[in-house]
Amino acid sequence: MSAEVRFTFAAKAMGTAVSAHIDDVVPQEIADDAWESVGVFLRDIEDRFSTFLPTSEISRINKGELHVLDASPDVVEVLDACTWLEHLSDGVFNARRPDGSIDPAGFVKGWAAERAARLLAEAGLKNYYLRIGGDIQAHGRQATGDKWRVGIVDPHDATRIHSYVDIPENWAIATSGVAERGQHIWGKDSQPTNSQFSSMTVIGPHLMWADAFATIAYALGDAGIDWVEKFPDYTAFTLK
Amino acid sequence: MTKKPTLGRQIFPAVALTVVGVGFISQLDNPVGDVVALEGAIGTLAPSASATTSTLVPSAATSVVVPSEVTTTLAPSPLSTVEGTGNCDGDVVTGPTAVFKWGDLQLQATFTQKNVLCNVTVVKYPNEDDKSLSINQSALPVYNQEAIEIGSAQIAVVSGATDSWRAYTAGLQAILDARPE
Repeated sequence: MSAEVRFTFAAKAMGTAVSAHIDDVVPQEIADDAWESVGVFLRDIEDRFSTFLPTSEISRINKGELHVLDASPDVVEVLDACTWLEHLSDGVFNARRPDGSIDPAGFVKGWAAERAARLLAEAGLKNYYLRIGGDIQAHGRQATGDKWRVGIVDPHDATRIHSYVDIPENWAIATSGVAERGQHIWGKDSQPTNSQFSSMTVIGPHLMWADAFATIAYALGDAGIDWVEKFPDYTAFTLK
Repeated sequence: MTKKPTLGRQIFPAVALTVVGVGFISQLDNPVGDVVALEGAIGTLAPSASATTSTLVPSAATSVVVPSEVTTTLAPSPLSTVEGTGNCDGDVVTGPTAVFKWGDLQLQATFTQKNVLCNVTVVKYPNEDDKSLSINQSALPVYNQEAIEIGSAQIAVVSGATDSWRAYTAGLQAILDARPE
């Protein structure tokens, strides 16, 4: 059995469930240390980005205590990406609240997950996935040699897997829709969207884009799939 | 987000294959609140020939109710008695109710004598609404199946749903994480 050791980790972070599955045959300490680095990273991200923490950089920016250009490079990168997404989506994606304050939470999760997955690679791991709240960044393949097979939860029945995707190596998958928690999908004018779809899934190389694109495509409804096709590496599909 | 994540303490490596299933059940952060009367629930909740079956693994449901207190005391069964994973006749553990946006979900897991997860049954079911589903044809890599069961399709991970920690602990992904290879 020792040759078939795999590692599964799960924890609560950033208000959601984070898990990782490592299919490399490596010593336990390697996997443990890699997972610990993920935890340290996600705690740091939450400390700097959470709008619930008055000391976070985002909160300090909103209070006028910190200028965006004086923020850490990660914060600048995230806000820059949010600006581009708002532009590319004609405002469907929006990291600003109605009162003008910024809240990039809708982007940070996917971005942080991709970065966290990169930490596993930096620890020398080659075959794994990292999952945050239903969005997955995969790397390599399963121990069987097969691609990572990702089931898409039935949006009408969370006990059931509707379909599955064998995603290419080092690709990511994200799903937005009513099966998710909360109202973090907003349409223009910061009104909740009333999409005709129950879920929208996007696959592509980078989780930060797949996650954001899924959010945008879900809000766009029928036009969402075509919108994602503008990005050659990304594919969107919906479960009605 | 007001609470600090406790990543380190909640790690549960799946290396100890024989006990990890029980490990995940006992780590659920919300203890079982109510024990579902299975004999009634199974009859009404488990569909028969429908493609949208809610029974994840197609073996006979074991209608044994385990009180909540027992879930945390389930030590691994004697390992020497049964070799192999054939008989799904070990401990039966009922998970907590997961609250989804549209309703509650509660799962029940059955283990073999070697504490290998062998069956998952839905005992509380969130939605009986219209389940007529379609998938966009432009999604080339998607294989739409009548009903994909975790066991037979070898799903490694699931996307969508189970977003909150509570939903996760009773949801599909937690079961996959606990499932031995």
